[in-house]
Order: sequence, then C-alpha cells, then structure tokens
Amino acid sequence: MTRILWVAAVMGLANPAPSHVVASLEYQVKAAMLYNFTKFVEWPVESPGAADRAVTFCILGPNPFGSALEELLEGKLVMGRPTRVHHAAELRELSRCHILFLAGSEERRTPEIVRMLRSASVLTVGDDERFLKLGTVMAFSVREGKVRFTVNTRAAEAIALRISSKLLKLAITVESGRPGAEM
Amino acid sequence: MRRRNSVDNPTPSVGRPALAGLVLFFTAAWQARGNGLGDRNLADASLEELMNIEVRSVGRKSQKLTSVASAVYLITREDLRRSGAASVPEALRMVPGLQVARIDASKWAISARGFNRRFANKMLVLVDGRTIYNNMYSGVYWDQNDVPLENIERIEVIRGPGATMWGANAVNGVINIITRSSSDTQGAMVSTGAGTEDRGSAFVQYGGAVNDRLHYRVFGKANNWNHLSSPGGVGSSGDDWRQRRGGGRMDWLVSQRDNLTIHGDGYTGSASQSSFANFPRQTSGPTLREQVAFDGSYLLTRWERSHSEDSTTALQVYANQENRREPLGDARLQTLDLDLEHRYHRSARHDVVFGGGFRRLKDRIRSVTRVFDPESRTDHLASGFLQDDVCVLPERLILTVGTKLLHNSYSGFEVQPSVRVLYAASPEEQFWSAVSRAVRTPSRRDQDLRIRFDLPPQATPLPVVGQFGGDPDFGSEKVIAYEAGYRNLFHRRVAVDLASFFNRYSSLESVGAGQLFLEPGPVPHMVLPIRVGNKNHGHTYGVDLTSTWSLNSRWRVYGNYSWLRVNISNTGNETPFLSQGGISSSPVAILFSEVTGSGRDPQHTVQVRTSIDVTPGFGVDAAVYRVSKLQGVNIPGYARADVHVNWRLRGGLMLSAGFRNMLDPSHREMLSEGSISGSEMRRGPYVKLTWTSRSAQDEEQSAPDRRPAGHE
Repeated sequence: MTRILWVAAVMGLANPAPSHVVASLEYQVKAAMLYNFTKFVEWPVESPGAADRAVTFCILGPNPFGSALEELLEGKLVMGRPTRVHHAAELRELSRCHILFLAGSEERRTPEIVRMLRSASVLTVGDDERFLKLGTVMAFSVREGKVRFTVNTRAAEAIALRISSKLLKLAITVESGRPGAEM
Repeated sequence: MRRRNSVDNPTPSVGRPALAGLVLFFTAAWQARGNGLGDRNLADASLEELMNIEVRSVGRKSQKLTSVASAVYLITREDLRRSGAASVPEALRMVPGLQVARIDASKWAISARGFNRRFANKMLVLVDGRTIYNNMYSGVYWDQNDVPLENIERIEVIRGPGATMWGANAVNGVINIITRSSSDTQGAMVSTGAGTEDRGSAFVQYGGAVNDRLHYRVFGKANNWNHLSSPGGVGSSGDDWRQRRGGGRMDWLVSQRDNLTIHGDGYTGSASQSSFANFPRQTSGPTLREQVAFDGSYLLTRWERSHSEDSTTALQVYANQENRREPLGDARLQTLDLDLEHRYHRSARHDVVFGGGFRRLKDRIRSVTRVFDPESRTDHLASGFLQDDVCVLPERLILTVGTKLLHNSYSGFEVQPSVRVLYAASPEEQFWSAVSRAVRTPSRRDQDLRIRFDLPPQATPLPVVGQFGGDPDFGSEKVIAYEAGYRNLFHRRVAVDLASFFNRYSSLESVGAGQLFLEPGPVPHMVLPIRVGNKNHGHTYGVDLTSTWSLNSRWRVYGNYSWLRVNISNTGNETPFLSQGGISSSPVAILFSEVTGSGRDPQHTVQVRTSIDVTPGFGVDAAVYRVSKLQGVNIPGYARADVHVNWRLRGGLMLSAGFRNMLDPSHREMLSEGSISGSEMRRGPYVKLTWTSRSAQDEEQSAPDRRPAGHE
C-alpha cells in the first residue's frame, strides 16, 4: 500500500495531499462512491445528529481526497438536505457523522471507534478491506484495478441502517463480521 | 523469453495502466476524460459507472518504476478509436520514436531506435503475453496477427531494451498489445467499413455472462484489403490481401483469489505480392505476381492466484501453430510456451518479481530447393529472471535491478541485466536513467538458410552460382544501452517527456563471401559461398521528445519529434573475392544491404496531432507526419496528413470517416524487402459504421447521460 501511495505521489497524483492538490483517480472515485452510497442508505429518523440539518461526511485520518469530496458535494442535496464535509480530529465528534470514512492509517483505532459508535447510526466506511474484520459497515477494496466495496449487513443491522438491495447487489456482500470471511 | 503479459497486468483481462503511472501522468490534466465518462463529472456518475473506472494497476509490478524508468508510450482505446487507424501497425504510427513504414499492403517495417526493416529483428512484439515475434525469420508477420482493434484495451510501447523483464530480442523495444477482458466487452457489436485502403471489412462480436464471475465473448472478423500503388504511383501494385479471423475469450473469477483466463483465435488469409522477376540479379525491371497464404491458431490459458495483497503467482501456458506458404517454400511452426511468475512485496523497501519459462519451437520448412537445412528443427528455450525494485528514498528515488538468464538452442546461455534509477524531484517532475544489456538471439534463418542464385556471366571458365546462407556458428547480436529521460507536467496542462539514448552494438550481423569452389555434377559449376557472421559493430543515439498540450477539456494537441543517428560499420563484411573484381558485385551487394539493413532509418521524424471534441458526440482528429529521407536506400522524405471524424448517432450507432495521405497522390515509405517490389501509399477516404447493443454501450459508458439511480 505504501508503495502504491508513493508511486501515486510520484506520478503527480499525490494523495495524502494538501487540499489544493488533485486527489488520485482512485480517491476521486472513492469520494464519488461515498456520495452515491448515501442514496442507497436509510438512516433511522432520530439519528445521527438529528439536530444537524446537514448530512455530514466525516473523514478520519489523513485526508486522501484533497478537495475532491467538497467539490463533488457542492450544490448537491442528500435526502433533500445540504451536505457538509467534516475533517474529524477527535473521536467524540464522530457520532454526529452520517457517513464516516476511515483512512488507512486509522486501522488501529477502528475497533475502538466501532465500539463507541454502537448506538449511533454512522455508516462507517474503511479505506480498504482490512477494515471489514474490524467491524466497519462498509469497506472499499480495489480489485482488478477497479474500486469495489463490501457491505457487512450484520453490522449495518446492528446500528439500524437500512441498506437498499440495489447497493447490496453491487457489493461484495459479507453477511457477518466473521474475520476474513470473503478474503 | 517473453515476459509477462503487459508491463504488468497479472490479469490480462483487466486492462490496467500497466504503465499506469505514465498514463496518469499524461492524462492528469484531463483525468475526467480518461475515465470513460467523457466530459461528465464523476459526481454525476452512477455507482456502476464508478465501479468500472480503472483506478489502479492490478499488479504491484505495474506500479513499479521499471515501467516508468524507461521510454514508454501508451496507446489507449480512445486513442485507437480517434486515430481512425484500420489496423495495429497503422495505429502504431502515433508512437513517438517508433518508425512505422509500410512496404506493401500486407507488410510493414516497424522498429524503434534503428535497424528498421520488414523483419525488424530487434523489436519484440507480444499480444497478451504471447510472443508474435517469429523465430524462423526474426520478425513479425503483421498480416497474420491482425488483432481486432475493437478488442484492444491498450498498446504499450517501450523504446529501448526490455530484455530483463520481457526476454530476448527486446533489444530496441517492446510492443505490447493487451486485449480487453471479456467482462468489458459485454453485449453485441457489429461494425463494417470500406475505403481506399479497405475494400470491405466486417466485425461481429457478442459478449455474455454465465454469471457475474464468468464472462465470455466470441467474435468473427473479415477484411478485404485493397492494393496500394505501384512504385511511381501508377496503377495497382497487385498486393491486395484478405483474411478471416474468429476467436473467443473467457474470464472467470474462480474464487476471490483465483482468476482464470482462456482465449484463442483462428485465422486464415492470403496475400498477393509483386516480386522482381530477376531477383537477386536485379532489383528493378519486370515483376511477377506471387501468392502467399497463411493460417494459424493459438490457445492461451492464464491462471493467477493472489496469496495476499502483497503476493501473486501467475501461470500461463499457450500453444500456437501457424502455416505460411511463400513462394520460397511452405513453413509450419508450432510453439508451446509455459511461464510462471511470482511477485511479492518483500518489505516497505523491496518489491520482488521472479519467474521462469520454457518454450518449445518446432518447425518444418518444405521447399523445392531446400532453402533451409535442416528442413525440420525442434528448439528449446529456458529462462529465468529476477528483478527487485528498491525504494532508496521514499517518494524520491527508486532503483530497479534485475537480470534475465536464458538458454536457447542457437546461442546457448545469455545474460541480460539492467539497472534503472528514477528520481522524482517533485510529483510532477522526474528524471530517470538506465544501463542495460540485451541480445538478439539467432533465428533459424541466421543459421540454416541456404539460397542459391545464378550470378551474371563472369570471367571465370565455369558458370558461378551464389549460395547465400546462414552460419551454424552465427551468434547473438548484443547491445549495451545507456538511457536517460526527463518528464515534467507543467501546470497539469502540458506534459513533456524527453528520452535520450546511446546504444553500443557488438557482434552485429555481417556478410562474408568465401572462396569459390568447384561443384562437380551433371553441370559442373563454381559456387561462391556468402555467409552471415557477427563481425559488424556500431552505435546509435538519439532523442525523442513527446509532448501533450491540453488546451481545455475538449481540445488536445500532441507534438512529437525524434532525432536518430545510426552509425553501423560495415567493415565486418568480408568480400575478398569481390574486391579482387572477380565477380560483378550487384546481386551480392543487394544481399549485403538486405543483411545489414542499415540506412533505412530516418534521421528526423515529426508529428503533430490534434484531437477536438466539438460536441460530446462529435469529435475531429487530425495528424500530420513528416519523415526525413532514408539515406541508405534512397527513399525521399515524405509528409503525410490524415483527418478523422467520429460521430455518435442515436440507437448505439457510431459513424466514423476520414481521409488518409491527403498531401500527395502516393509516396514510398520503405525500400522493398528481398524480392518484393514494394508499393506506394495511396491517398483516399474511408468510412466505418459501428453498432453496439445497449449493454455494450453501458460497458463503453457511452450511453446517454444516465442519472444516478435514487432510493428504491
């Protein structure tokens, strides 16, 4: 992974990038997918952060998207509500997120985060497949050079997220959180 | 020999930027276009579309700078479509630093960095990891390898040695054609076209899926190619040709870890050609119309297993058989090839790939005059390679060291090492340099050819027969190549790539005339043996400048310039008898020029291309080429201009049309090869209509803007 990132960086598509730098194509696609996921997921009425009118996209860890996510969401409504991108610094802020992207570096903290969010309906999305066995609801993977994603339906049910069958059809679905079930 | 299919594309199926880095480098300025979504924003793409975008090379190897610390150029599917090229060799014209010269309608001379001729023996050509470099003649029969352009994912061209990774004969470069996975060619496709070059062609394909893990496609193709102009530009050169080809491919994701690809093609065709009736006594004068016929088939299986994110093993086996009936004789070649490779990410600092291969080549050449001795031969080739990419300074400096060791029946053991280094001054700016050794291994022709011809009447008491032949002691031709390059991406709009090289060759092919001897028989005569040897040497150097300018998201301009100098000494050619004036030298001199093949490389080549999307469904492309004269063979310089438009109509129809060689009625690009009289390129229009079914359009992502689906 390190190598891939660095080659991406060398190639002028640096990825742990300052916001003015263009994200790599991989992360542009992942950003667009994050946005797309929100169309196929129903959050319980009361949470998360019901007080917040805006649908919140959170990023934890070094931001690989550059400004791609912000640019993508500009002028877009999700569930009829405006959107917001939040670069989370502290764990306690996370329960206010609708969708939380966990950067690769956050693997170690993930079990703790998942535990903490047990009662908050946050759609957690890990950067790569390692995250699945750590209990996130979704995780990206790159297969045959293309971005794929996995859904842990049990984890989704546990926090009352309803994921549309359309999304599940496209996903590499994992029923349980059994470690390495698919890999 | 051979090496991996594509600079690395463990799953041949999945076309990935083997040279991903580079492509991205060149496309960074207009990334959104490169993703197949046209001018649309990623934000408007549906999940399905997003899932189809290739974001990363499959193979770790492909990310490696081995592919980048060298002079590489990539032709994408979009480039192919926009070029209007009707065949692979014609499409290769756009590659900077690659000399593409058409000899007659069915024959091309294609090489990088000099030594160009029909059997360009220092250029290795692969299709999905299968070599199409013919070991009988050391070169490529382009007519037999007419890969359907519709199924090509990309063509990677490496100028300079690629022997460490790709195997022998990648002395001056590698052309690597990668076809599309059958999961990317779902649905039906029908296309047909005609024009001055192409009397009529048809392509039919259907791609289906057994389930979401097993995809397949079958295709059929027929082409009827028109003749070119005869030398001087008057009338037909009698070199029309035709071929039919059919094949299929299956890509099966057997499990999450295993991927199996099987594909195969069968083809048959025939070509007419004009030959000098008095060759080799004369390379002018009356011509004969000759027929060449060919057929063949191959089957390739590739199995890949990922043990983990960091480790992959691939096993590839293919069998190929081909028959070719030439005026000189009938040749049959059977190849069986097995390749195994393993790559792993040993640590943060090392990426290692190693492997081995075995190939068996069996041939038989039947001819009245026994032009090959022996007529049948079975050869073996075994090879192993190891390469390590060392990350010396993270994000700054990468060192690649590797070597290939091979053993072949002709020249024994050969070692082909290389050292490459890449320094990234910034994410946009890179410097690279490399030193490598590569060999061109002997072919059947070099060792076993025997052609006899009458020499003009001499002052000798008896008639003299020339016997041109190979030498069983003929060894490999060798090069030590020094390369350096620079790339920069200015403001994400202008990409510049500069590649320079200095190649020092030794043991180059030479010709020596031996002593006359008397051959008794019913008609006693003298024989003048003329044999090839390895006594020439020389050097070449040059620079290729490649640039791409993205004026805006709809308009791109490409400008390329190549400068090439070839200095090959012919001092190794031994002509004792000739120098004594004993024999009129003309036919011998002709053969000499054939063998050394020098002087067929232009010193300057310039090309300017432009690609404009007038509207999302209507594009215009134009290209101008200028090639300087071929000094050694007296072919004057020429200019060529092509225009091409493509227009997306309704209902999955695409219309494309264009005009080739607009600048003159006809021109010569290359000197005739052997007895072939050669032809001149004609100018003329063409038109092509393509229909794709709905599902194929989705694959092409060319369907009308689909809004992302909402909640169910």
